[in-house]
Amino acid sequence: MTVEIQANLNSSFYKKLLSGVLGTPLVLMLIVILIITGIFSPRSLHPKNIVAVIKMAPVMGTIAIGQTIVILSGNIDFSTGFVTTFILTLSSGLMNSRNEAALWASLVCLLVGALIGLFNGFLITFTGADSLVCTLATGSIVQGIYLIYTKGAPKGGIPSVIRYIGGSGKIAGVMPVPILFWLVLSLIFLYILNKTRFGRSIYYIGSNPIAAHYSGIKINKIIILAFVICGLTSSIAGLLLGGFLGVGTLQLNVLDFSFIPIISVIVGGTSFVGGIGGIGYTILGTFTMQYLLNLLTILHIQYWGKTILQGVIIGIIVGFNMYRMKK
Amino acid sequence: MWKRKQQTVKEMGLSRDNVRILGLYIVLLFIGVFASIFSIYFRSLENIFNVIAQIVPLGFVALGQTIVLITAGVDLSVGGIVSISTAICAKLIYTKYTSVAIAFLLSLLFGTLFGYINGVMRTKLRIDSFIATLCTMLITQGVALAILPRPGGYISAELISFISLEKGILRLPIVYFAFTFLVIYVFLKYHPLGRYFYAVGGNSKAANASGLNVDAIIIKAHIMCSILAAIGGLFLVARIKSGDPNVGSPFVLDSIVAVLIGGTTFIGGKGSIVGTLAGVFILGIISNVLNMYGINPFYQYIIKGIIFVIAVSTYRYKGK
Repeated sequence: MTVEIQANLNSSFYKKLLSGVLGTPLVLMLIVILIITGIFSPRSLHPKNIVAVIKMAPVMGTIAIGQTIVILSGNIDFSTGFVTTFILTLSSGLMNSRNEAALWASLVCLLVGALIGLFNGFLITFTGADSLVCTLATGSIVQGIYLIYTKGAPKGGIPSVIRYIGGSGKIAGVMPVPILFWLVLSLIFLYILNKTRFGRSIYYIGSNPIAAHYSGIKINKIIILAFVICGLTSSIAGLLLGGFLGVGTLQLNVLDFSFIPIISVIVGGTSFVGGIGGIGYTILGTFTMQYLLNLLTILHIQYWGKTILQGVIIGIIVGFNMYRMKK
Repeated sequence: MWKRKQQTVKEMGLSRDNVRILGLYIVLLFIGVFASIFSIYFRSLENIFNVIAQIVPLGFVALGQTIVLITAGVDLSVGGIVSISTAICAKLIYTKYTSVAIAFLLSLLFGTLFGYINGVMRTKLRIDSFIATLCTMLITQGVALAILPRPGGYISAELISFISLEKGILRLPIVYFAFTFLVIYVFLKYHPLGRYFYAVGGNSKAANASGLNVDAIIIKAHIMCSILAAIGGLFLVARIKSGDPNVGSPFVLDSIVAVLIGGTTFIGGKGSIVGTLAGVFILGIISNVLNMYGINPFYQYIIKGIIFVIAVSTYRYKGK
């Protein structure tokens, strides 16, 4: 009897998941983007090219994992770009192209990322001020720290071990290691969000903080933990970015690493309101965002056009969500 | 004993917020006195006027930010609007007065447009003002880059003489700023619309129930904020004498920090521009003192963040 119910539940769960994935406008959007890409540049649909386009996906996707958890809890973390840049320069300086230093330096980087997340969490829960502005201030502090640390000119280099994980490595000659790394990390957090007490609490807090409080969930603790995870994933992304570039640099646009993950998350269907969405959608959202950016490059749209379009995308999606909720 | 003390405080018309603002000006005075004692250059009259002239652009932006925070919102797009102003001026102004007027009008027009968009997104679409202005922050940044892809351009002497004339003790930007400050002070204190801003920020449902058109009032607040940001951009372009599509980005955090120091909160319905002025002065003097002592400018990022943490920690908002 119980087995039967369990089986029923499971089958309905998978059916829902399948129809959910296929039914999202996201897959449709991805297909449309690929078709337009194919029209304007048929060569870019070659399988080799398809893999090449999503080279940045592991970095953005890893940041987006933590960002998803924070957004699900009804907050937002704007400091991810600054943390990623800081870890990029810090890892480059600490490792200095030595393989034997890779392990402890990575651990130091993860610790630094977690500490920044902890600071964010404490600031937001203790003051109750809006998370967007609090993390903007943290971002300013982190920016000051990495500018002072590098004196404007990052030193050192990334050892081959990290370069293998973050950039050049391939399993069986086809599957790039960073993408595999990102997908495995996503699956781990998918499990954590759906099956653990912490994960379910995030959803409860996001959808109704007052009810969550009265059902005995320690809201502050969970939100701090969410920000610590976001700091951690941002620093993992910093290490992956180091592996991808092979050198620490300040030439990248810091705000891209804050905005593109946020947009990937909400393109995926996770709502700023909190409690709606999940990591699975974020994976799809990250892919979509990367192909969209690629399409814009193919169409010769300048940086300013991309920036405006990012703003418009946020506006349309959030406005549409709000309109649907009002209905 | 303490009751009597409280009474006298009340009789003097000093609420808790006024005490806070008084405290801020005392802090400001202390910073000024210490800086003057330790640095000959700081206490020169020229430098003091310089500090005041330097804070004028931030002052304008912070005035607008105060208005929006009073209505329980926030505007993250001010930085982009400042950038648009500098970009337009650098692109359009050569030597003729006519193009100066056109550049000014276009800058103000862009400010009005984005203020209106912010307001409409917040009221009609019910998007949280943080997210709505995050979106216009990206759009304004993109527009600034579209107008002027890289820093450069040239600002004519006419514009500089028109808005930032410096002759002896006279600094025109300071005069303009003082005038605007007074107008907005009177406006917020006595004009009906100014009072409605407080009413809407304090309790929008009650304001709606008493017959106010809440949406229109919020849209007006956002338009005022964006226009003030555009004016701030005009004063900035007269000071740096060139255009830069990225010059506005620090203004977002700076203006919010200045307003928060001044005692205006994210909750809304409370706050004054007198406090904001103290906040702007504190930020300006700290930056000037650090420059005087030759301290690495990178430390300013950290100091600004720490000031934000202190300013925001003095209030405990209600838990979410």
